[in-house]
Amino acid sequence: MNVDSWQSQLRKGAAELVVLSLLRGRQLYGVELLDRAGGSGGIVSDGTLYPLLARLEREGKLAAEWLLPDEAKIPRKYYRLTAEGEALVAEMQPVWRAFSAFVDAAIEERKHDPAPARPRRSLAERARA
Amino acid sequence: MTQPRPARGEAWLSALAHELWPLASDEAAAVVAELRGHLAARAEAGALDECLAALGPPKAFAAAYDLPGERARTIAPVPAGMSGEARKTVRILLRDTRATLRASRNGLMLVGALLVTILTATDFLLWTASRLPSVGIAVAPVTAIRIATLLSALSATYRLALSPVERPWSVDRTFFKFVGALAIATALVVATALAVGWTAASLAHGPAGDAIRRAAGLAALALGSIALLRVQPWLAALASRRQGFSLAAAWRGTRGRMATIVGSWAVLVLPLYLLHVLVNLLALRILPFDAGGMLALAGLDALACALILVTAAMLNAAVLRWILGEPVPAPSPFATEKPAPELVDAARTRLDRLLQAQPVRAA
Repeated sequence: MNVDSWQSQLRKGAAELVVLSLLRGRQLYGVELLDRAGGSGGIVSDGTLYPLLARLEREGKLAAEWLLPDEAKIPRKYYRLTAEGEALVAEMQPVWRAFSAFVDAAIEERKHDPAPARPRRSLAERARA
Repeated sequence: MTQPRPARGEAWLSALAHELWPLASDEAAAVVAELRGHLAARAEAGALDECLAALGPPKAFAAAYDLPGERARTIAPVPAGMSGEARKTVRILLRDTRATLRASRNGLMLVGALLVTILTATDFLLWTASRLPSVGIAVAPVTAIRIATLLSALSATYRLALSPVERPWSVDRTFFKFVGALAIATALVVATALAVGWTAASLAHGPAGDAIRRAAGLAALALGSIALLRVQPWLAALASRRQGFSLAAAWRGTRGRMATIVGSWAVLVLPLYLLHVLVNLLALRILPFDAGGMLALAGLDALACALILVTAAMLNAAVLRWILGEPVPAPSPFATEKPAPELVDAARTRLDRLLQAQPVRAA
């Protein structure tokens, strides 16, 4: 696995959490969501946002409403969290924090302890012993 | 909504709309409308090219919407007042007709197979009766079989296209209502054309009378056929047992849309009809009678007639959905839903009876 493909997997997993978190307590349309996620390091992009929104809407995590604000020339589709979406993001956030903290701790530990790990014995070797 | 739209963006959206065929029509329209807003915003910021590059090819982008999995809800459709898409073009009716075909239940292949088989046989018999009267083929029963097949197939096609539950081949009260209404409407058109033609001929004197009668009759037939087209959505609703859709509603609903409907018929049905006329001319007037050649022509004519029937039914079903403001459902060919338990029980019972009737083979 190269870094690009690994990063792509990471983004896929995190995009849902980013979108749901951005929609907590407010309703936004696609371009606004992308603008707010601009600093997300490409976790949410033009090409991935809309299919993700459609999936979350179909799953009942988001509700959508078409509006034509005064300043807009084209109708916009505004998304907000449903009760199910609220519950999901409330569950996801602590999981992410724990996950992120664990990964950070693992990286930091290796930094402070550069000694090579003892080579592991294979299952066959263990069985022989 | 009236601002000029960037051509590259519109081309991308058009390709996207084409690729979104696995979705219901209202969901696909909502996806396109949302992306149209997105592209407009990016174009205003001078970043259309970057945006199109980020979205990627329409085919790959559309594929991301067709994910299997839980679908608790559907994508919110664009409200009618906000839809920027003109709903009255031949292109859109053709697209919805194709979507209707894709969304029809299993069974259309059976309709086609039955039509081609029966129409080939009856064409051949009727042509033989006409070209070789000495053979003594009784025309009336052959014609009756032909008409019964066409009516059953048309009713089945409407049910497969428009109703999720109606049994396609049931000969029930609904079927007879549909057949009666179709017969009355057709008879009215033909009778009016004849009456107009004869009236015109009686008013016109001299050698031009015959030509005037024909011209007036044809004009009345054309106008009557257009009127018959306006009635078709009602007939489709009748065949598929859609309660509460009246003849008046069909008449009102097709007002202002007839140019689109006639245009779509001209594109889809007219070429097949001309092929049908040409094949019949070849068989009845031009080619010498040869059994093998006639049978091949009968097969070609049957294919053309089957396509005419299915295409016309899909068009009428699409127009009915337009009038009702109902989206075309997502395609469901080879659906994997479980059949109704009573159908399974009935099939098991029949199978048991069949197995019991079979002789037991000696080992």
